[in-house]
Amino acid sequence: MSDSPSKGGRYRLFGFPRWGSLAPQLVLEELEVHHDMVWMTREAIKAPTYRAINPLGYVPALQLPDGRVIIESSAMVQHLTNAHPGRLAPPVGSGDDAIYIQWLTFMNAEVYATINCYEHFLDGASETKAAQARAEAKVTELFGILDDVLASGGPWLLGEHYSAADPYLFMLTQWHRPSKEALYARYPRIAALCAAVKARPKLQAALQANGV
Amino acid sequence: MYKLFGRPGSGSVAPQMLLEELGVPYELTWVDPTVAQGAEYRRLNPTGKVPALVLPDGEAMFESAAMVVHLTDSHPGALAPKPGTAAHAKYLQWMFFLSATLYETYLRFYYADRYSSAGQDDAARIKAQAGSDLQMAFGILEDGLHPYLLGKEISAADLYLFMLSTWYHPSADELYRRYPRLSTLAKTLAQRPAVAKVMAANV
Repeated sequence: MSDSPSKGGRYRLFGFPRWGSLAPQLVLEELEVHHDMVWMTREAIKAPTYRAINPLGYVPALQLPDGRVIIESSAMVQHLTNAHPGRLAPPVGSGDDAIYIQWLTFMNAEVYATINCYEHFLDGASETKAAQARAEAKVTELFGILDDVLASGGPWLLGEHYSAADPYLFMLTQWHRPSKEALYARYPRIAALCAAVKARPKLQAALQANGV
Repeated sequence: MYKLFGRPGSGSVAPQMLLEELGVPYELTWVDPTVAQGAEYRRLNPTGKVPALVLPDGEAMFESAAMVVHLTDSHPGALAPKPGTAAHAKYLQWMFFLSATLYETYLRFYYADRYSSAGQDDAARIKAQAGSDLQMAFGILEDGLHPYLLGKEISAADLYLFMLSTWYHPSADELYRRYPRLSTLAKTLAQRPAVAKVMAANV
């Protein structure tokens, strides 16, 4: 087990099964970093005790060993690979690391943000079908960019080297509509990558806890 | 040498500010939207959008926030905490919040008709929702400024926020009237020589 960056404290990840906490949880497991997984409920998120930890009330949130709390799942993933270097990302500052950051940003700012729009595009009323249809088509297009990258230099997003960007992609596919199976049928390289992530021995307990 | 591909006033502004701030040599190429959609440019950025950045080793990358983080990671010291520290984790949080939440919301605001297969029929409501999402995001950022996003130390996340603030409709001044800390930040940053130079080149 590797030491936490500041001794004494532990990471605490606040999340829901299958939500945005999935990727940071898989990365914590893979890095074998001491942490506590705190499963939230809708009531617990609204409780004052959680607001004291994360005033924004967002989930996931990651409490660092020094007590600071960060939001944004891809920031958690990148911070964890920066703080525990050598295994799940290229050396910080290298050209390969630039590509690693690029994929995390693309998956968060483009794919994840569009998936969010399944629900939040319109102002809450009934005419959401057309917007959902557009969001689903756009998400499928964006996954196509990732499948093309895997076609020209897989099997992982960084080519021969597994990185924390791969469990992040695995997480995003779980949310696909109409189903992840439909996505895998369309994009065989993404399907192969996700099957390989799912088979990683260190991830089995966390995958089971998330029901995936 | 770095090669930045962009368009005046677009997402290329932030990486350009970083390149100027860091004092590293770079070449800037303005890319017309029709050129950006072509196969040659898509080898640099498969989404067919600006910006794209070619690194000194020849590798091409896209996503403006990723460029900014890579530039501070590869030129440590001036505009970001040390990678792996808790302070750097906060820096990453703000960079991802800005790119995944604020930037994305602007796209919905300005290109609302692209967000529904019903096109213009849904556009007004998508734009209204995006407008209220913008206020929520800027409210969170205003609360986070003390006076910078990382507290007492300036970072590249402030420059990224500054770029996004200039996109506000009807004007950045309107935004600054609502959010006084953001207004102070913008005034401070606009006085930096590197920032002033880039803003003047992006009109």
